Amino acid sequence: MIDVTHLSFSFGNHLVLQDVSFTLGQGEFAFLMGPSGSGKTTLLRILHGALPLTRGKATVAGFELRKITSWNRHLLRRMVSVVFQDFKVLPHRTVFDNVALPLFVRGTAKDIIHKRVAVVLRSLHLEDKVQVRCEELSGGEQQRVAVARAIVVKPKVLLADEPTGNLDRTLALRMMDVFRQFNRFGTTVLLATHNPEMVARVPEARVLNIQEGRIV
Amino acid sequence: MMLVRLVSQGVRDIFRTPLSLATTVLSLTVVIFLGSSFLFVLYNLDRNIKASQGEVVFQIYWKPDAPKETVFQHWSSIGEMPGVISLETFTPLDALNKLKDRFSIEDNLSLETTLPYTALIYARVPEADPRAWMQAMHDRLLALPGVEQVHYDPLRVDGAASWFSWSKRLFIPVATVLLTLIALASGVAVRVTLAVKREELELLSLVGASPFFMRIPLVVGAATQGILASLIAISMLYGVHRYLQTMFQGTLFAFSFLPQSYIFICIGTVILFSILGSYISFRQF
Repeated sequence: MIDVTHLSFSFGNHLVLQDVSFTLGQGEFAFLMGPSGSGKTTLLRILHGALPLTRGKATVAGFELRKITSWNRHLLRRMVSVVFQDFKVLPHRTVFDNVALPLFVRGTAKDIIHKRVAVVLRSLHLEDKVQVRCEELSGGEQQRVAVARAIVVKPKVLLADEPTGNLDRTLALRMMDVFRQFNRFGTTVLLATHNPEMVARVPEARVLNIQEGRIV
Repeated sequence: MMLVRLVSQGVRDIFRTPLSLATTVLSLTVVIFLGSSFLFVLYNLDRNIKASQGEVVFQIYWKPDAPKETVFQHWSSIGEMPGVISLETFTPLDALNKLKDRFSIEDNLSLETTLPYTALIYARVPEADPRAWMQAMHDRLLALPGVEQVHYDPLRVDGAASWFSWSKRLFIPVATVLLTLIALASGVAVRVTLAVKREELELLSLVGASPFFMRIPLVVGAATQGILASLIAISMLYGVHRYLQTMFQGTLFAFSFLPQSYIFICIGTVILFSILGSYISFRQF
């Protein structure tokens, strides 16, 4: 589902990723472990088409990233969902609007949108916040909204960048259970974290250690 | 169905942020109003100068023995010739009275038989090849039965021709500059307004929205704002036109409203560049 070969990336003269290679099969769960500045976020951004692939080769959900342009990138993004470190929720919109957004852009029927959003919000204990605007939520709640938005479309691949960073321990562990459960339905999950406790919560997961831009 | 949904969403979106809508429409209105006002002044100046510079006079002398009925027939037909503004006619008696008035002669003169019928024709030369038109008009008048001589001032025609040529050279570039300024300002105004939407569009792109899904509402929104601003600005200009018309009534300077083609070009430019502005703002998504 994710196939990366000799991928390197630099911002100007600063080499951020060096010769990264790994493969993740369908339904696999993997952690991308490494300290801050090791290149986790950059790698996830490349895999999501937010940064261009300049050196190496990568295929995600059947899409060769070198062939991705601004006109077909949305096709990749319909297969690959991302949970961002900074949530990226629309503050002035309600929880429902935020979570329904990926379904809305796919032209999903209204009744299906309502059903699916309700199920996902219930699984993340946000069912009583449906009509609350995101700016009124706590950091942890906003993070759960971001997760709900990523999983509501049942993507083939789920990329998550420090998705438990703003949650207390109990909520973080519960969130890991959501990812785990979601993974059991066949979604490939690649989760960037520097928290070993989260890694321990999913014992069957693979761990890709990344340091100074290299998988070690 | 999806297209209709996106178009209506584009219109709804701009009304969801009334303050932003008001600011954009206001700035666009000011730009269009100022630009079209300059165009209006330029157009009227050009028109009035052309009217005064482009006016020429032909003087016709009929043969002294030309039958009165024929001459009178000519007088009514000449007035309907293309380009003729007015006609001043003189019978031999009129001419004699005019002479008497002019030179304060009290005695009875009996020169009637020797004086010919004459007429002064005031005409407006066309912009396209005025010299050829003048020559053709001259030949046409001279060909009338009983006409002996036709005079006109060739220098006047040269003056008109050179003004038309200058006007052509000046008006189009100045109008183009004005339209360019309107276009650029419209584009920039829309881009500035859309900057607040960057976050939302970035997110739409990240969750898999197609380029059309993101751009159609923006383009529709920008076009709607352009149309609104253009309508307000053109209405304001019409108000100014009516006011000036009343103010200058009875003077030689006549104000005309911009022709429809100019209005459409103005509105079209604003809409086009508002759309382009919105498109360029988010071409990376």
